[in-house]
Amino acid sequence: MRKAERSQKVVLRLVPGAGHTPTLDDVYRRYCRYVGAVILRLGARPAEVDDLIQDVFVEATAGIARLREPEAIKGWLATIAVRTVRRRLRVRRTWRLLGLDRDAANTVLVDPRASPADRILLRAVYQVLDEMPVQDRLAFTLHTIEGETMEAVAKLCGCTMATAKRRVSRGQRLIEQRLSDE
Amino acid sequence: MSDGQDLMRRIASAGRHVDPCLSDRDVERLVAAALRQRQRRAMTLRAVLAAGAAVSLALAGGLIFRRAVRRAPLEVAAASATGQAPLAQRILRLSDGSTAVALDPETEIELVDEHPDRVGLSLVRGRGRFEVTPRPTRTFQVRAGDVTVTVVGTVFTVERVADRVGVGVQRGTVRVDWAAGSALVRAGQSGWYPPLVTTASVDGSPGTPKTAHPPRAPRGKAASRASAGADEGGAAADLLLAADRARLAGHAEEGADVLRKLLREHADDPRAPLAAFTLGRLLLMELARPAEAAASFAQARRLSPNGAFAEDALAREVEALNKAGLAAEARARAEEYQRVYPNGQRMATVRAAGGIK
Repeated sequence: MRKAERSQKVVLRLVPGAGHTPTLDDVYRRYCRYVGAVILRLGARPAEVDDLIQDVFVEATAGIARLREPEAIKGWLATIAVRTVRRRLRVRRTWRLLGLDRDAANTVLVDPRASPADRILLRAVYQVLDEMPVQDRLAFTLHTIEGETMEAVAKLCGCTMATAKRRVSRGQRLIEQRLSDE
Repeated sequence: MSDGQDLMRRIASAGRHVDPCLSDRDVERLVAAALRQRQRRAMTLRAVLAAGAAVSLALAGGLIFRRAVRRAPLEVAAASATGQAPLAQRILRLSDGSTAVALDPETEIELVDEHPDRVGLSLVRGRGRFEVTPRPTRTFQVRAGDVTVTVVGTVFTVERVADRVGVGVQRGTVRVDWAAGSALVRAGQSGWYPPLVTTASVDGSPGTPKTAHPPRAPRGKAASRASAGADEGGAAADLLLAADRARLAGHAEEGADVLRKLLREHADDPRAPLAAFTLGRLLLMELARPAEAAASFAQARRLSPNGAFAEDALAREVEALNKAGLAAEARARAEEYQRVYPNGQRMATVRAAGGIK
């Protein structure tokens, strides 16, 4: 069994020609927290984070070895994370339409350093995000919360820059409108 | 306009605090889980490839086909686990046709050993049902902590609750081994292992606990009163066994009634904390009555404040209160958990369920 485990270990060459050959596990360890944070900010619920991280790395396993530039790994993982969360949000929306989404009360995992004002603001923002169309939500979150450029948002969402701008703008309008109402 | 920009800046600033705060331990756990998942996928892929090769050979010629078909399952040693499937539908299929089914969403079963002459599974947590294809030349073992269940062609259920392991056999016979003894559990029997000391020697056969015997029907109050002294403990044991049997057979409501009876009539029995804890799990996981479950977990703690179940019971109580929509109570219990078990194994779950950021 041990032998079998060793033989199945996926080896990923991050730095061609370098002495150390990191395995996929090394990549996992390095980017696990990053992927978890992206997933959570994009709208995953705390209880889903573990599963979605696994989904991202499972999907990455197939394509990651083909990446020629090690720096591209982070972006590649973010792209998969966006795809994975998009699927989850769409499923959740369908469940909600059918009245089967019982965990609708959203909880946002915030690190202990956040101020009470930030916590209240984030709770309100994520409540509005839950009402937003999935594509707008992803574009808005990537740009406004994750701090990605419009170009990166377009790339991560698989759309044109003009579409990305429209989505971000729609998202910002809705947030402004709802939060100013309160 | 500037208000809008200011709002977005505030959101961006606050958004940086949205973080799952994964500890090193969490990361290592995820890495280990990913490795297992990759192994299962690789095995499944190999199984599919081997099956494809077998079909090709079948088309090519009869003799080659036969050899290929015979060899494929051995070479593949396939353990295809559908790790993505929800809740009770997670099934681990072994190459000989045996299966392990995770009965709870949090159940974790690992395939640790698979050879023609032996198969080893590990129940890390939760509850699993194992259906084993009879094969005299192969031993089939399920390990759950310090307890090992060895099988010779059967269907059985293994459940971990704190430091106890429940075993119920639906078909065939299993041998249950623990540090201080062993017992044969036959079809229709069930029990908790290692057995409690008070029940281990009742029937006078050392190493063979009373809990491995067929559970009798629960006695009435009159019968319980009539049998004084040692019988008092025996009645509680019988009730616990009857509850296990009902529960493992899928009659959750009936099992809950029997556990309530045990708690009512034998609150001083050493099995009472286990009964209260089991009742809580039953109400929470199978009967979807979280408020009642919370009360049962609280009772388990009251009955044995420093017992083996105390930490788990408090964690479950937080979870149940949260599910019942009693956020303030859940938070209070979660804070208590943090205070009493600062290095508790269930800290992350408790904090999430108690709404502690």
